Formats: sequence, C-alpha cells, structure tokens
Amino acid sequence: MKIVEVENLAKYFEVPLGSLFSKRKKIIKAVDGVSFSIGKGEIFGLLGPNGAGKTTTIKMLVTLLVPDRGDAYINGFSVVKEPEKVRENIGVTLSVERGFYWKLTGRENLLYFAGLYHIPKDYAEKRINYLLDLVDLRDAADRLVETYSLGMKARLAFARALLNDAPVIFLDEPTLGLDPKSARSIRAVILELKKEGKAVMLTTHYMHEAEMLCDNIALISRGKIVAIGSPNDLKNMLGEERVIEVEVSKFAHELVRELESYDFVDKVFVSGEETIKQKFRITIRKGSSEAVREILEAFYDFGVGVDYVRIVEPSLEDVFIKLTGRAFEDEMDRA
Amino acid sequence: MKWIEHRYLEFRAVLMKEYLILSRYPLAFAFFVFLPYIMAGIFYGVGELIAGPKALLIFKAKTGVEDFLSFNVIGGSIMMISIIILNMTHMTMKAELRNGTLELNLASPSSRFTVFFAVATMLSMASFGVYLVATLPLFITMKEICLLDYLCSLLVLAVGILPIAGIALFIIALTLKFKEVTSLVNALNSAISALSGVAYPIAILPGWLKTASQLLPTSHTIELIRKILTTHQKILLHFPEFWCLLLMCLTYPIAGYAIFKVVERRGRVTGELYLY
Repeated sequence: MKIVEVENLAKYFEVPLGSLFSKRKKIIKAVDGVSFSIGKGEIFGLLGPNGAGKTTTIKMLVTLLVPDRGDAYINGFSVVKEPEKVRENIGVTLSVERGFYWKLTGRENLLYFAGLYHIPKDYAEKRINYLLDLVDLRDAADRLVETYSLGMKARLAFARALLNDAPVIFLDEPTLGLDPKSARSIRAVILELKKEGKAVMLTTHYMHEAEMLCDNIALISRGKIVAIGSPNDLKNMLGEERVIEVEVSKFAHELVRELESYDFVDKVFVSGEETIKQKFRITIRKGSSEAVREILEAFYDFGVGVDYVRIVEPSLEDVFIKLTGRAFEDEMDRA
Repeated sequence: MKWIEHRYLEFRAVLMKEYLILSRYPLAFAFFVFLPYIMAGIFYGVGELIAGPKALLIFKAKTGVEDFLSFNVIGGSIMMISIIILNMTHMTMKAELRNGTLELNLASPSSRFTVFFAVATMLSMASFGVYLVATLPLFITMKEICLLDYLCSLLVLAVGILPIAGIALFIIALTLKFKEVTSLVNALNSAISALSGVAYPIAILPGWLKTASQLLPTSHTIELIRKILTTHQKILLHFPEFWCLLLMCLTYPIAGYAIFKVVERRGRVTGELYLY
C-alpha cells in the first residue's frame, strides 16, 4: 500500500535580475513534474546534487511550499487541499543544524514541539525520554542547545521528527556535515523506523548512504527525476560497464581527449585539484584486462605517472553521469 | 472538545517557551523599568538648560501639568511597553527566520492564531510587569491615588495592549516580507514616543499631528491612565478615549492578522517566507 503518492509535482521560482528597480525576472524550474510513490515500511531516497530540487520537493510535501502544478497525497490527504491533515501525519527534519531555540535545553525544545503536535504533557514526557534514549542524548537533555555540537543537534532534530509518531517521516540531508559516528547512529535509527513500518523519505547527496539505506531511489537532476528504482536496478542500467579509477599527480588535457577517442571508453571524468591530485574515472563498455592495459599505456605515453589504479563496481554516481551526462560535482558548482 | 484541547496544548507550549527564553535574559526588562525615570530626568535637565530654573513653572503654565514626574513616568512606562512589544516581536521573528524554527512551526499542525495569542499574552504579562514595577513608587508616594484608581489603570493597560499587539502582527508580516525592517520599527517607536504625549500633552501638538496621534493606541492609553489617576473617575465608559481603545481592540488585531495571513499565503507560494 502506498502511503505517499506524488503526482506531477512542480515548483517554479521567479528570481529578479539586475538592480533593485529592474523588472527583469528569470523563471527557475526548481522542481519540474516529479512523480513517485512510497510504501509503508519503505525508505525512499531522493538523490541528487545541491540545487537539484530535493529540498523544494520535500518542502512541498510538508506543506511549506504550495506546488505550482500537480499534487501529492500523504496518508490519503492532499498537500494542496488538506495541508492541516497532512501536517498531522508527518514528522519533519529540514536541517540538522537549525530549527531549535538555542536558549532552551534539548528537552525543553522537544516539549515545546510536542505541544505544537498536540501531545498531552504526561505522554510527551515519556515519549521524549524514550526518544532521548534512542538518539543517545539523555545525558545532554538538560543542557542548553547552544552548547550542543553539530552531531548532537542532528540527533535532537531527529528525535523531534519522531515526536508525534507519524506514519511518514521526511528527512532533508539528515547526516549532512556529521562525523562518521553520529552519521552511523542516525542511519541505524532510520533502519529501525523501517522495521516499525514507517515510510521514510530522505534526501541526500551521499551516494553510499542512499545505497546503504534506501529500498528505492529517485535520481533527481535540475528538477526532474531521471531514474527511479532500487539501488541494484539503477546500477543494472549500466549493463556490463565497468569503471576504472586512476589517480595521478600530473594532468594533461590531451590525455582526456585521447582516452575519449577509444571505442571501448564510454565516459571520462576527472576530479580533484589540477595542481595536486587528479582522479580519473573512466567508464569502459566491458571489463577487460586489454582495456586496462591500453588505458595505462596512454598515461605512460603522455608522461603522466600513475599513483594507483583499480577497477571498481559502478556506483549510483556513474548511473547519474550516464543519465545526465554530468557529474554530481559539476551540478553542485552550477547550483 | 478535541479542538479545545489542541489549542490549550499549543497555547501552553508557546507560553512556556516564551517564559523560559525571557527568564534566561534576567536583565532584559530591568532597563525598561528604570528608563521612564531616566527619561523624566533627561527631560527635566533639557528643560532647565533651555529655560533656566523656571522651567518647571513654564511647563506647568503651558501644559497645565501639575506633577511633572508622575506625568513623565506614566507616559514613559507605556512607551516602554510599546517598545517591548514591537521590538521584541520583530527581533523574535528575525530569530525564527534565521534559526529555521519558523519553518518547523509552520510545518506543525498548530493554529497560527493560538501561537500568536500565546506570544501576545506572554508579552502582555511582561509589559504588565514593567508597568507595575515602574509605577509602583508613584502609587506609594502619591497620596491622592487610591488602589481602585490604580486597578482601573491596569484595566486600561490591558485593553491598550491589544491594539499594540495588532500593530505587532503587522510588523511580523513586514518582517516576513521584507526581512530587515529594524529601521522601520525604530521609526515607528520614535513616532509613538513623539505623538503619544509621553513627555507633553497631546493638546499642545499642531492640528494634523494631533489627528495622527489619535490613530495610536498609546496616545489614548497614556491619556486615559493619567485622567484616571488624577480625576479618580472610575467609570471607564465615560471617557471617549476608552471607546477609541475598544474600537482599536477590534480593528487593529483583526487587520494585523489579515495582513499576516496574506503575506503567509503568498510566501508559501513564492518561497520567500523561508528566506532571510
């Protein structure tokens, strides 16, 4: 049974151009007709670079933004026609760092939001203690939030999203900027929510996180969903393609052109600082030792010393690159 | 029944939150309590500097004011209340925008009206506190003021705060729309202090300024409290100022809330509600 159904959702923003008195405006298609659905007990990831439209999509689903087109149904309620009902059926985390009253303690913040979600005081206190244990914040619960580290704030934000025990949880970049330990503990709780039968929608631009957590993933680029499916389904889109990673200390533009001219090479992406380390990510149409040999020979011919080379399984980023023709980082720069 | 319970839970949560935040700035209101006395001293000093030792007599002759200190302290304390409500509303809304708490409040199923009502209640209670502490020395020292006069003045204050809360709702709407309106709020506070008869009676203002001052709830509140404390007239309905305040109680909050709702609705469409 689908608990979240999104139908052709779109949001456009008008951005003024030029000076204060200029009437010139640019229309930005932040989200351009996205559709997907999420079932009970499913973790759904919206994966894309910064500026792809992930947060705008979430903001429409949690009723903070009114869609320009389309509609979405949360637990059967329309975000356009019944926003109040939708709000009763969702838990939200929009930013791990923001969203708290700094002069209140962690517990007081949760008590405040419990009131806004109509949770009676006695039950709220029990629920807050349970959640504080769940996110391992019991010891710091009575400290002012202004003294919290980023990881603690993230865990508190997570606890707040679970306060009303809603059937649908929206998490916008839940592990952004967190240390590995905090990120791990958040991911563990997300998996617990799945076991409880909750539908979780999360946005992220960490591919390994999406791959690790999500049952289904939508790859979003420039406001449009370019692919949707399970992580394996998405990677299978690459067929027999393999990726060769080569790290070098010197860079030659001609080398890229040379590699792209090989008939077995599908795409070449180079990342890293031009003056320090460069990582070549070369997608080849089928894995063969012959291909690796030819590629390494090209590096040798151009006088580029190879620090290491390895053949890797294609990742979701490779799927994204194949479908959009752009790397995540390129889109982030554009955003 | 459920509706009432929900509103009660929201109201209590907001009230408690506001109280806790205010209580963590213990000196925030201390300054407001002393300021009416400091202002009275400054006005007296400036008057004496300009007019010499006969300044008080000239002031009395021109305005008819017998008790310079109580006149200024009453005016000053109402002005402080207006500053507290308008400035704190603006600062709070800015902080909500900056900290991202506004989004989470709007994503919750709470009633906006209850939230505002709770915030206004807390600010009103703080304002009452300021008025009580600032005017208590007057009440004790001025023999002609009886307890009933003083209680009547508190009732007038309670009524007078509501239209100020209405103006505060308008300021919330402006903050959501234009974000940085601190200078406008400061200008509004200056206008209120200049036109509400804080340090001089409204009667001495030129005609057009007198008309403008009639639009400010603070003008009527200050005038009415002074009249009650000096004439000992307790039937408030006999005063035209009280009728004006009652009218403002109905119109200002409704107008302020309507403007807020328009800005909120528009902001949900354009997305500008969440920018700062």
